[in-house]
Amino acid sequence: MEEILKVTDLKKTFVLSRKQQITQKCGKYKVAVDGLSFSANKGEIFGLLGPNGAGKTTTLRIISTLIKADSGDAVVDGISVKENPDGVRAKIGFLTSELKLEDFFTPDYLFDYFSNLHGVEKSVAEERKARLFEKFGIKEFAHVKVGDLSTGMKQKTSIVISIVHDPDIIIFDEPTNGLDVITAKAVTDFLKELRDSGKTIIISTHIFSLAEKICDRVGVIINGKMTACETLAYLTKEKPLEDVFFDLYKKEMGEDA
Amino acid sequence: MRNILVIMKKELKRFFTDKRLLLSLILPGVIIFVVYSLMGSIVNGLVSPDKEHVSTVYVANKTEDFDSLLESAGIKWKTAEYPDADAAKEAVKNKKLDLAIVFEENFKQKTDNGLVPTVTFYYNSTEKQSAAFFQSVSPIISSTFTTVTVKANAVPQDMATKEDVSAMVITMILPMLVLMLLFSGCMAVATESIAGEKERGTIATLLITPVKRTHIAIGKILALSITALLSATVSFIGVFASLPKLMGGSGGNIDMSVYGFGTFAGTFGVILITVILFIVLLSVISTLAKSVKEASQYAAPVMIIVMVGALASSFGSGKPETWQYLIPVYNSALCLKGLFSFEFSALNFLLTVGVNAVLIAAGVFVLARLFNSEKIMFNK
Ligand SMILES: Nc1ncnc2c1ncn2[C@@H]1O[C@H](COP(=O)(O)OP(=O)(O)O)[C@@H](O)[C@H]1O
Ligand SMILES: [Mg+2]
Repeated sequence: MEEILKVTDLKKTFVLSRKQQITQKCGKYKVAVDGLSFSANKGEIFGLLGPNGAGKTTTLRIISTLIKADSGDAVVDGISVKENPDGVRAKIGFLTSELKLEDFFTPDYLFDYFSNLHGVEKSVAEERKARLFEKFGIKEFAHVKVGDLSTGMKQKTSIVISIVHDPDIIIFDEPTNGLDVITAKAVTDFLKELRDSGKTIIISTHIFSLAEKICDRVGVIINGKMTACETLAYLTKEKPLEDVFFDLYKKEMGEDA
Repeated sequence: MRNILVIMKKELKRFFTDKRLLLSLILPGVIIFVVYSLMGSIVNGLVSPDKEHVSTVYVANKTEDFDSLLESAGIKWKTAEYPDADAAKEAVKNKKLDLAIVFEENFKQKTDNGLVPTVTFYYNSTEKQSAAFFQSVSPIISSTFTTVTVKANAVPQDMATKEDVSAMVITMILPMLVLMLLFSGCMAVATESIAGEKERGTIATLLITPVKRTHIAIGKILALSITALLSATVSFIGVFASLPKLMGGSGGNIDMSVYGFGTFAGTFGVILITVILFIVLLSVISTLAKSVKEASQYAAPVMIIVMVGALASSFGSGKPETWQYLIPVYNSALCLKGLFSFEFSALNFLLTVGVNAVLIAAGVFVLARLFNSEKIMFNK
């Protein structure tokens, strides 16, 4: 087993605006990620499982270099996000709802544009585009402006755009959110396919069934802390994942109280 | 390097294929044309020479065919007598006389011999009758002596005193007008492209690619500058197309042919560097803002500072000191003013370009730093 992602003692505190302080009913600071450590192995699907606000997205944003941790580090395929964020960006494909596509352009144009920015050779990009567009049924709306697409179509396009450069490490934040069951299945099948071809997949989710269906290993995040990080088989040896989670949740919240 | 081009191409495609955006770039020029033409018509309606007025003219060394030439053109006039040409000139200045025409001695004889003698027109551009009369008489004289005989130099002399020349006012406000048009063009595109992308969350998608932040900044700045230049060009066409109407009879013969290639090249250079500076400045402002609306709010006071700087250059009397060319915006205005009044200095031009280039480089650096700051890029 080759370790391809190593996260050590990650910490992230947000300074809240006055408005956020009122809506979140807490003080000036919010510790979103609190000393989180875990690692993922090459060729596996690793799932960060946790309730809303647990700090999953924040963790993935730090690994993807979109934001910086207060302390701790993430090393992606030997490259530190602190020392060489550009290098990390070239290695990963990141999908999160925050990354939007410009309404004005078509999926076809955007695919070419991002392929270009990643320095993908033209013939390779063409072949990849044809294959991915076919797989996700984007062909029918490849020349429709993103602004005119439905949520599901946009999500499919975002998925495809996030992997134009065929990265070895694919980080998907809540990949099936807002998708209908058919598209969701297409996405999970695709993730398994990618894993089988040797890629490493990191996903976050709050859906137990999704984690059970596709993850090889699961890290349970509660309140920005890693409460368990094991193989799915080990975690669910005695109880279903949901029960395991609630045990962990009670323990964590009990400590807090 | 390659990525700069890729980003630039995308930005240009965005601006040049979006009908709504394109319209917003072209519309200011059209509005300027319509408003200025309208303004011109109204103003000229107020000051158009009254038909009853019979113009008075003093002619020194009058040629024999002078009277018949004017008569055949249907012009009515009264000849005025003055002791000499200087007294007549003084009268034009004081608006007592409409026009003084001074033919060189032995004018006819000289033209017959193939020489090019001079005829000088003294008129007063602030006096509508004078200006109108000059405009109707001078072509007759000059065309007669260019086509019938050899050639005569027709030299117009505006006798208006400095303080009240409308043409002077126009050249004075021209630098300010130019800078304002440039700034508003830059404002529209920079806020849309940077604050807009931030607001819509599309810039994050760009930031997640391994493209260097400096390259993103440069690619955007180049594309935005080109777009702003286009918008400015349309505005200029609007201004120049409406200029004849705007200035009407009052000294309205702005002859662009007096400006040579050098002037235009210099003007283009100043405009180009100023546009890039504006774009960089507005890009930084747009990056700091959370939305297009906020960016426009931040940019408004900056626009006022730019206007004040440009305006100050118009009022400065006498030759500007060299150090004044170190002040951005102000130096651009001074350069434009200098170029249009033929007081061009290579040193001042280079200082202006140099100072602005340094600021632009600093701005690109700052912009790249801002793109790297999560507090700024994700400050929802
Ligand atoms: N930019 C931000 N500013 C302030 N608070 C934030 C910000 N991003 C996330 N948070 C807070 O941090 C916590 C973790 O958020 P997040 O990582 O999005 O959780 P998850 O993805 O697990 O639902 C939440 O309480 C959230 O409100
Ligand atoms: Mg989340």
